[in-house]
Amino acid sequence: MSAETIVPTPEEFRRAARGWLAEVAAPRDTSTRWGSGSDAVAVFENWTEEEEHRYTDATRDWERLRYDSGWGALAFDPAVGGRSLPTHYEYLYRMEEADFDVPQRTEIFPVTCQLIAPAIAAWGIPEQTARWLPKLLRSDELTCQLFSETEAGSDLAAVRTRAVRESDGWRLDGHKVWTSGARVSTWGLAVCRTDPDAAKHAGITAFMVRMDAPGVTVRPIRQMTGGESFNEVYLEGVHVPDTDRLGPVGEGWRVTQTVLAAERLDSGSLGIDNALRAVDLAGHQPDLDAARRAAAADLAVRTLVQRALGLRVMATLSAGGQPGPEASVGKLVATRTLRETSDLVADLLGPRLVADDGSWGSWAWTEHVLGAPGYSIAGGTDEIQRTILSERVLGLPREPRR
Amino acid sequence: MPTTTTTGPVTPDIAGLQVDPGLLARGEEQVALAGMARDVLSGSAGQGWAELAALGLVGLLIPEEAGGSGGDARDLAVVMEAAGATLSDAPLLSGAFAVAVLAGLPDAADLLPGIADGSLRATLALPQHSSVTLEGDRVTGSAGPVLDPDADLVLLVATDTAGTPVLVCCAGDADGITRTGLTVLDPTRPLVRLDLTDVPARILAREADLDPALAIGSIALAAESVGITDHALRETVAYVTGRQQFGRPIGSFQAVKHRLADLLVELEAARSAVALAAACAVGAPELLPVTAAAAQLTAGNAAALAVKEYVQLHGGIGFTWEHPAHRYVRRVRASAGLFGSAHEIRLQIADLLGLPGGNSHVR
Ligand SMILES: Cc1cc2nc3c(=O)[nH]c(=O)nc-3n(C[C@H](O)[C@H](O)[C@H](O)COP(=O)(O)OP(=O)(O)OC[C@H]3O[C@@H](n4cnc5c(N)ncnc54)[C@H](O)[C@@H]3O)c2cc1C
Repeated sequence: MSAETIVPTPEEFRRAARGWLAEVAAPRDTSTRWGSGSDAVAVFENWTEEEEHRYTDATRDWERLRYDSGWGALAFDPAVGGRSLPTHYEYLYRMEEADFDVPQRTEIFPVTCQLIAPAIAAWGIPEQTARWLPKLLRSDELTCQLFSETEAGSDLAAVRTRAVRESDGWRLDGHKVWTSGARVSTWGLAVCRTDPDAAKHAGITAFMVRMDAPGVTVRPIRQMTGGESFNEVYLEGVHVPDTDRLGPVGEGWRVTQTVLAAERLDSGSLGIDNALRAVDLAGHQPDLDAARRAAAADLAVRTLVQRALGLRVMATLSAGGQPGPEASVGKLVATRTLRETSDLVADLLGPRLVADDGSWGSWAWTEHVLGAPGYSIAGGTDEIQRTILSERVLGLPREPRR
Repeated sequence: MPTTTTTGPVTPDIAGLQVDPGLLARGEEQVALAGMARDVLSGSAGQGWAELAALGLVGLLIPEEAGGSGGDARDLAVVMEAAGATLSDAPLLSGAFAVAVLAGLPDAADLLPGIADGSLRATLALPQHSSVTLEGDRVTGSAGPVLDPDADLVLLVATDTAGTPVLVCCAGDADGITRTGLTVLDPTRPLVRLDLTDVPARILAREADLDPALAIGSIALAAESVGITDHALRETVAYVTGRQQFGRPIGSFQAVKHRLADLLVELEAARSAVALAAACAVGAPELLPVTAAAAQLTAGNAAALAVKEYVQLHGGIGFTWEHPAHRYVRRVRASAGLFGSAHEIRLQIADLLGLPGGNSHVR
């Protein structure tokens, strides 16, 4: 038996992770957390394209070091640079990493590594997993989700982007919207209609599209925060070789579901850090009335509950099971935490959220308040999550569908 | 405004939460215990206390050497969840409070075997509902509402002449105790008022810190609320699936489905909060008080929503005496009234977190 096949105990693993982190990164300085240092609490970054590239490159450097040192891609096969560790070891690693001063991943990194890469592992043929996974998992090539269209959002299976067979591959024509991270991505996973005559969910196929291919145009969309973290993507006569098709023709809906299920699982920890900061903000007010004390306590409790849900998911994964409702509810709990955080800070800050008075940790919260609504829409709206829970977990009769 | 410089985060304890995930999972033994407890507690015959004790449901937290099951807060949560789901009228909750108080007291060791075998049924008069003084070895005052009117042993916190709180116990039928049964909102949980005049008492601990025991009691209460929520959700899902109006099951209307989805979210949140608190009781005692209160709050809120939907989504049937829904409504309202409303618990948590502005005498 080779060394790689021996799974360390969680304690051993965490100790080793901490040891490695201590060698390559500085500890996060918690003593100066309040009142100095960064007071950023953005949910979606308001970056120019140049800033987005610069930040993405810095994060990528860290992710490469992590991968090259054997601390990335933990759950993946050694053949693609992983260690075949149980899924939850990634979360164990992140618990340790949280104590160190390393670049905070922007959305596109987990989208690439936690959402798309597992879908490639599940659906790719060996040639594809060998070609794509090491680069994706090393964050050399980031991948965005080319799912939504103007006429197909919640009703994703209504996509109209066409993929038509041509000589050695496919020709794609269509228009995708709300594509996060498109400016820094090498690839986009596109959900396309390949059979307009088949039943809605049956006529769909998924493709990995190079974002620099002729015919691909990315245009940033300004969002309500004022920044541009998502884009529209035009696909005009884009040629995609058949070797870049992911999953069988007509199975694109199931490929998409693999990604979306991972997205629900991955969103469980959203908002916890900012909620804790909001509780800190309450803690640093000179005085609080009973209503504000109660609201701050409530938010603190939410952070505990949200982490407890995550711990239960981890326990299920570590026992070899598939997380049930506790994973599906995670996203709704997270979006509510984001909202309640907004409500508490708005109440605490009052005019300081209306006009920038230059004080530390005040105006910065506008980025949270304006960004938080995004996650109740992205990755399946809150309403769609409720429908999923009521139909797939509670087993209630399905919505009429066409 | 000047930049605040500082002392570090106000809530280092909760921000740095580190708990072994395995402690939040139910092991095989607990799954078996849950099934057994459910079967026993839903038995139509009504169970004798001795029978419950013989099955180990009373002495869960009592060490095996003393005749108990040697379990921990996680086992207690499992059993209390079953008690909530079945709305058992066995005084398991008051028993849990009493055992939690006694289990850690060296001076009370002789009481444990009797409690474990069911021959000595104990209850705790909640400190917030009692006003009792101690002179020598005699107590005087009143307590109530107290759970379990027929308890053999009553634990009380009495103030001695120096103003120190002292944990004492006295026999339920001791000379000098007048027990007055109360008319109650929740008939499945009878309550009594105790008037005590020069009642002989045994001193168990001076300056006893009851907080850890009360936290275990909060976990038991929260677990009961999880059971209630689970029951209400299941029953309601079954009902809306079968009941037809406008030619379709009412459970196919989105207004109904989404409300039940929200209830599921609350249920899972409550389950997680209880699991976390029980895990902290075992592996992170410094976080026990805050996580136990968080569990009580989260599970209490879930149960409050659950019983509201239980009645509403059953329509007229749900408003009848015959339908069980109101019994669960009564239990949930009564628990909030006795053990603290959501608002009170939030303020208590704010105190625990050291949030500014507390008058520290909220309760
Ligand atoms: C910040 C952000 C980032 C995003 N990133 C990406 C990305 O990277 N890639 C990508 O492909 N997409 C992305 N999206 C798009 C996102 O997936 C869609 O916006 C979302 O699925 C909703 O679709 P829609 O915008 O068409 O709204 P609609 O589907 O038109 O919904 C409008 C409203 O109607 C409600 N609604 C719709 N159908 C139902 C129903 N059956 N029952 C009840 N209510 C219903 C919705 O809940 C919503 O409130 C992103 C969106 C945001 C906000």
